Amino acid sequence: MYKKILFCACLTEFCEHVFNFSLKTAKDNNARLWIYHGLGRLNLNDNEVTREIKDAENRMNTLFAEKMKQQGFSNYAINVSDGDIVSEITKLARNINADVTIMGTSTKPPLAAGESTNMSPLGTVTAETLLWAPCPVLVVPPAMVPGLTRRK
Amino acid sequence: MEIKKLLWPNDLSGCSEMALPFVKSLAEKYKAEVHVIYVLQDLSKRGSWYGDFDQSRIKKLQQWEEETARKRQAELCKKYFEDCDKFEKHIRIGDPAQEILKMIEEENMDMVVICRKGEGENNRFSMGGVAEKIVRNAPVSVVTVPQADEK
Repeated sequence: MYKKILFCACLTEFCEHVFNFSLKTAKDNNARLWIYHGLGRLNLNDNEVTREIKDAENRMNTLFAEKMKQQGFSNYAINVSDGDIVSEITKLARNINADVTIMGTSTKPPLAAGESTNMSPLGTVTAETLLWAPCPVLVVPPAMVPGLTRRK
Repeated sequence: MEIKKLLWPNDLSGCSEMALPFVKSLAEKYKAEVHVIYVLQDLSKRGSWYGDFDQSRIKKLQQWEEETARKRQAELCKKYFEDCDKFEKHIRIGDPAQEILKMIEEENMDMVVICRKGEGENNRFSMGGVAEKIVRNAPVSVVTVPQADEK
């Protein structure tokens, strides 16, 4: 079914449940997992851009690679780039021929006091990726964050 | 990850059928029930611009739509799914997005697979209205599938 999964990470706390979902899906399907983080358009020189990319890669290694290692999952690739995030995601999805792209609804914290768990502010990156992605896009809502879900 | 119930909103458009391979493979992989839903528009609630409609004609039109949808849903099951016991067919009347969201809650769906654009949308620059409302409001994960010519 899913043999190539692209997970778009935003490196916020909220991202963790989407990562767990992606990792579980990859393990269930014996798939390769690409973890992508976009830095957006950086108005910096080449050296600074390289440094920013390295920094982000290190953060991703700490956040995700360790966890995957602990769970014995090694079929993954970490990818960071600068440039328009939606274009980079769709380009990567096309290049790797992804079967599915997994992402959250927004980089903002899922809930403010009193907000409904169902209503998710759809971020611009997700909304545009949904429109332009060459493959199916799986959106994980805040209602699926452990502890927030009202489902049994 | 556990998927016991999979919802496939199908407006009988070509794009809805693009979702079929994903629905099928997910159902097989997770041994999930597939629930297909078609939502009829409630024509009787529409106001008339040029005098009153003949209500019997509206009823007839709606009946025809319902019968066609039932027939098509039965065909889908026979043609593409081996185990029709795990294929539930639903037809509802009302606003498509609202009915689909209601169905997710009522039937405790685990995932929704929906086409990016439905029958009504021919615009490359915006998502289908129903699909967008589902992505924004569904309490479960939603997979949006692109049309063949959009890949």
